[in-house]
Amino acid sequence: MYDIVGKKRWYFLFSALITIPGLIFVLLGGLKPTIDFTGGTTWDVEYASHPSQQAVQQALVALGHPEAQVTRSPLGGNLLRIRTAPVDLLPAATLAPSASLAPATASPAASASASATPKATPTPTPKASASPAVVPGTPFDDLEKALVARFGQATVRSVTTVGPIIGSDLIRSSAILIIVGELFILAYLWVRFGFRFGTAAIVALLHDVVVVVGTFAILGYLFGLEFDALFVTALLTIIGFSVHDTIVVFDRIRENRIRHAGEPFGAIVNHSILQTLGRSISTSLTVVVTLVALLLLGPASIRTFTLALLIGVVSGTYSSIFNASQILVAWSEWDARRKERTGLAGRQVRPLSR
Amino acid sequence: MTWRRIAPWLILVIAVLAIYIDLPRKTLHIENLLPAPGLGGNAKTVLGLDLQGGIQVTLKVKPQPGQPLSPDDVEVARNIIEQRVSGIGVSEPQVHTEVSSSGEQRIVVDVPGVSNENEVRSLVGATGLLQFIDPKSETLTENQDITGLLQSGKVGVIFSGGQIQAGSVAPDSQNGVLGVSFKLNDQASAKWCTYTTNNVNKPGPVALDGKVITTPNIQSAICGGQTIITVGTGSDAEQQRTTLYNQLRYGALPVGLQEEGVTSVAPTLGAHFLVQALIAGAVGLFLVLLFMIGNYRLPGVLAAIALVFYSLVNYAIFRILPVTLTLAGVAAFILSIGMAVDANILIFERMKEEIRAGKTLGPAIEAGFNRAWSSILDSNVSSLLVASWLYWQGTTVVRGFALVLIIGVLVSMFSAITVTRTMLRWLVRREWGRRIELYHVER
Repeated sequence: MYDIVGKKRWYFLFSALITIPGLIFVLLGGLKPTIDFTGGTTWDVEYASHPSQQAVQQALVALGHPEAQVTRSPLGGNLLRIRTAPVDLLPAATLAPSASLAPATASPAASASASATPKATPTPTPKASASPAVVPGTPFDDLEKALVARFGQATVRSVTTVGPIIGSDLIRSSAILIIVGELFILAYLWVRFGFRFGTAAIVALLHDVVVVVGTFAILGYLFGLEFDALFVTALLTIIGFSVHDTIVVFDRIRENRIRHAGEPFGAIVNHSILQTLGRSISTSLTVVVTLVALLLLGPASIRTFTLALLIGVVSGTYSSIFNASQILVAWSEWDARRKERTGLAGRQVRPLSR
Repeated sequence: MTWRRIAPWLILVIAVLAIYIDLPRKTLHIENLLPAPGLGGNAKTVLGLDLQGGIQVTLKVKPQPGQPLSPDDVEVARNIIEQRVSGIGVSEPQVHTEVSSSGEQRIVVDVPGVSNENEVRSLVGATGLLQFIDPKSETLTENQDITGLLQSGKVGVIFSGGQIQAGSVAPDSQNGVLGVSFKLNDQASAKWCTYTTNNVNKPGPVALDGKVITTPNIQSAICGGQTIITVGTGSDAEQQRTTLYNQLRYGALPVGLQEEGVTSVAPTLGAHFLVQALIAGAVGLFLVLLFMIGNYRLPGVLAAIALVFYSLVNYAIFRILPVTLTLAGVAAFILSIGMAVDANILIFERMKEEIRAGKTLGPAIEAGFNRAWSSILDSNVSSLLVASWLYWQGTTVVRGFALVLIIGVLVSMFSAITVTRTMLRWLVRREWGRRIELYHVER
């Protein structure tokens, strides 16, 4: 039978080799958040004269936006993506007086047409405003108009403005979501499988999260790849998937420990991995196939999300076989050695307690 | 035993019901052909802003100075905003309140199908502090910002929008001249009477949120509170009248608002995304079906049928609830297909093992289902835990994703286990269904 468990040091080494560079790039500032987290304004736009990125950038600097970044839009075509500090927020609204107001219900048929009412006639308006714009020119309007004056008619495909408060809120709530999400899984696994299994599974989960975050840090550092609010969702999904894989293997280990009681723990784990290998590969394949279809054919706006999932699913399958289970074996071997040293060698050492 | 008898019929009924709900009534013109049951009678597919285009504005709710923020006030503000924006998008706007993780009250306005974001934002963002202005010696023009003048006392306020009697605002016309009429309450009416008597043939400007919206001429003394502001004749005037009507009618919000974020997606872009997501989903699903049939043969075919059943039921639930489908939701759906397949793979792999271990087909099938059950249960429960947590705590986008995942996991437990099992049991009772080469077991 193929010995998977025996080579566990190599797997740990491999995991270290793929996680440590990522972490280094995280420290180097490789993680590039979108305005979802930092606050700002992003818009995808195409100008009639197809100006170069540099030209638009220079124009923006001249218009008082030295922080502006102009890139090719991931939506494709001749679209440019412009990113600036938040420009188009309305001025802080004045506070309303203490008006007692019922949500107005219309009664257009009301008899207000009493012709005896004195009238007030408005002075003729110089130009009719096409929309009920109470606020005529927002800063964004002004900026976009200035750009249109230079580069010709614009087609704006999407605009997003995020205030700094929403951004910092998102960072906080994302961190809470991920940490508490993992704690839920940890608690469930402790209840269903016992302390060691739960802990080993969480280490494998952390491995997957680090791999994905690290990969994004590397890609961000090298190619400017950004992560958005959906990235958090992706991480949570990866956690869910990875725990799926780990549970399947653990479940088999639990079953085999009862069936093959007395066999060394390493052998039982080896068995269990081999028995579930077909399933692990098949399942990963189906998910990878769907994700690749989504990555290649799906909308550009969820491309980073899909990429994160793809990396996470592959890492999740790897870590459930080569990390989570191996940690269990390493832990029980370490335990056995420790007990030998402390003079318990003569006793029957149970590899694992539930 | 009774369950075994009921299950096939139950599956059949669910499948027929799901197909019935999934049918696009409008496109097929079959609204009246089918007897509409209560369930699914008004089923519709609701697309998120990112898929049909539109604008989302996030507003922070600020209490009035010295007053606590009451939930009633926020709800009233939400209602007013909803009335202001209703009718400018292709389908109903959604205005909901949420509390951020830092405890901040927010109102989120979704207006689908429009791309003129300024129209929406000006309607939404204006707090609607309506003031009838005494210009004193100043000459005011339309769109002029008079916040400074008001603060320094160079212009005065005669009365504010809160003094207009609720429900009294109405569009009006006098001999073809369009206008908006309203009635003041007694206190303001007295002031208005005094002021207009002294200022006939002078302008009586009206300001909204510190900006002059119109500067009508006072034609005569207005006593008794009934007032009409005319805007002229022609189609231009009609537009102006509507604007003025809305401004007067949905006057003051009981809370202050501050814009915190805006997202706008052009409707064409949204439609483009939707098509791409659907194509990717269809290709992905097709490849998965191909893989299952290639790898597991006859059981694979059954898994494929179960998967189609799964998709139909899922989509029907989306339409009944309804679940707003965003890009993240579509991704969650495609992902949940992967999870549904996983349950089948677990079972079939286990079946193969049992056959290899010497069991005959019938017992091997039963053992496959029974032994795989604990893995399926544990993995699905952990997914449900995380998804429920996301739904409970997440932002709107994350919640949509979580809801689709929750529905997906629950439906997949039924489709991958009950549906596949029922079909397999039926098959092994047939002579042709027992041929071992149909099960692709490598010895």
